Amino acid sequence: MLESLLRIIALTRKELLAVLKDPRSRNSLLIPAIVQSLVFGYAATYDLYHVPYAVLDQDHSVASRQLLAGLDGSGVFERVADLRSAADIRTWIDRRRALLVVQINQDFEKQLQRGQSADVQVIADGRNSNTAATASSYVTAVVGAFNQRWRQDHGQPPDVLTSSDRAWYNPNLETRWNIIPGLIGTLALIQTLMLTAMSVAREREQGTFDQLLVTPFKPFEIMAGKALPSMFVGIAQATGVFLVAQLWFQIPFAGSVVTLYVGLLMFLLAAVGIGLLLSSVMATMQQAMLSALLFIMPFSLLSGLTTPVSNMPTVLQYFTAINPLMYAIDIARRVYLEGAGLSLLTPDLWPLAIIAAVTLSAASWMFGHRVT
Amino acid sequence: MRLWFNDANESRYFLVPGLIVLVMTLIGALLTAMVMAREWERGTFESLFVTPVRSEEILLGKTIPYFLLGLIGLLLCIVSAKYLFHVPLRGTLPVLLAASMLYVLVALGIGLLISSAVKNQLIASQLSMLATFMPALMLSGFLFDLRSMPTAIRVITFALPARYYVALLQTIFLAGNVWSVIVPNMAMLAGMVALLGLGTRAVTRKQLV
Repeated sequence: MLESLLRIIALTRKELLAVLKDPRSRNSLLIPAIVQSLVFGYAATYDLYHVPYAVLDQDHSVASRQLLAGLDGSGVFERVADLRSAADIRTWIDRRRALLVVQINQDFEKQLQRGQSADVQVIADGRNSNTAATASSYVTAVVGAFNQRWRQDHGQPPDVLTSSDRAWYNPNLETRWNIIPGLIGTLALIQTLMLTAMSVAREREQGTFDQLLVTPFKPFEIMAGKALPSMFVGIAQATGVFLVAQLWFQIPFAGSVVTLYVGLLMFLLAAVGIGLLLSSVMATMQQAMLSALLFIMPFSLLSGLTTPVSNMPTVLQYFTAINPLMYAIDIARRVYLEGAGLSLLTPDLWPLAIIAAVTLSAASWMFGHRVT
Repeated sequence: MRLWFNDANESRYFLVPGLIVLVMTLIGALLTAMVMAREWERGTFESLFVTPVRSEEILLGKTIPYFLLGLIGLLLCIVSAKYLFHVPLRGTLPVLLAASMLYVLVALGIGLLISSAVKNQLIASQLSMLATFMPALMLSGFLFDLRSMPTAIRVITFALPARYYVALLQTIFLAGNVWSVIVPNMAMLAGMVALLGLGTRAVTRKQLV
């Protein structure tokens, strides 16, 4: 038992040395996680701060100017053009110079004065329909504010029914609060899965794996010796991202660090297990890399990082059940934003444990049975 | 309120072109990421030195097969976009193919450059993954609006080929052949192909390390 432990420690040490001794490989594992979390933390926002828009004002009235002043004063909308005719709309939108065009019809003010409803047309560039929808919802808000003021100033009764939304846990609905905790798992997954997938394939390619098999190492010990170094790297990367989130972006952290790390450890066990299983099957590094990619891509796209899992088609939702990253992101977000404890996180933790148990034992079985 | 190019507000209309960008980036860069590094690691590159093959010829020989593979991937992507996801193709097919072939060359160039520069498969795989996947997802304008990013980040996005390809695909698929969008974006991609080609040739000169 003790001997087995010593062997595992020796192998782990050798593996860590192999990866970390080369300064280029050490840097490629530790620095990018931090740089990426900084860059993506700033880049990842569904909120819009600069919306170039053009105006087709066919009314030229006090009311239309008031409405446009509301848009210009919002700090978000930047007027790039005053259009003369409806034919101009196409050029401005097509060439992506304006994200949207606000069109105010001729008798806008007259209709308002008669107390009728008046239309404001918004034409948005739907090539990215998400951005377009967000921008038009901003317009709606500005128009709503204009409406209320107009009614007040002109002695018309205010709207009877108004709805107000409140989001719990993230009251300002900052995208960053959602994305950065998600990045802890994502960035760690991509590099660790790749690293592990290469680990055995590299030894195979260089012919040193057969030598490892004739040593007194048992397959289980080889598996542990390969899994632990990757987990160290994964934990280091996750810690880097976590520190950026805490110290740089100062994302509010409602839960406990211990809970987060317990979740991360379970997640890395599952991720490393998948990587090792791939590595045990593949003969060359190129095969290992491409197969790792086949997992990394759906894992990250179907994880809930950028699009909610509940919006996906049912078939894909079943697939997410075997996606360790989906659980990791859920854990990170809930620990961060709700302060969830371990008992609340059990629905995420046990699937990770199952994935880890299945893949790790399959990998160690493969080590013992596949000799090339 | 009207949404041009996408009246029904179908999110797959912008997701599918964006995913094609992701897939082509990864196929392109990762296919070639290992090829040069592998030869260096196994020592077979030295054997190539003693043959009369010139380094440009080696590079072309390494690019062409993967370019053809990339094209197969591309065709699969276009067919599934059109017939499986029913994304309209409002531009013309030749323009779409020309833009995409240019992009495949850029992606292959990134892989080749990394592979020839680091000469180590483990590092090459990590670097090409880092240089392509997450940047193409987060910084290309596919999910997040480029105009809303802080200036420093926006400057970084100009160096990313995926940014230009996202603009091209979204326009060619959904808006049509809008030349004032297509020409500058394709020119940027062509410039990148040239730079990557020169860069790769510079690091693969026939010399022992």
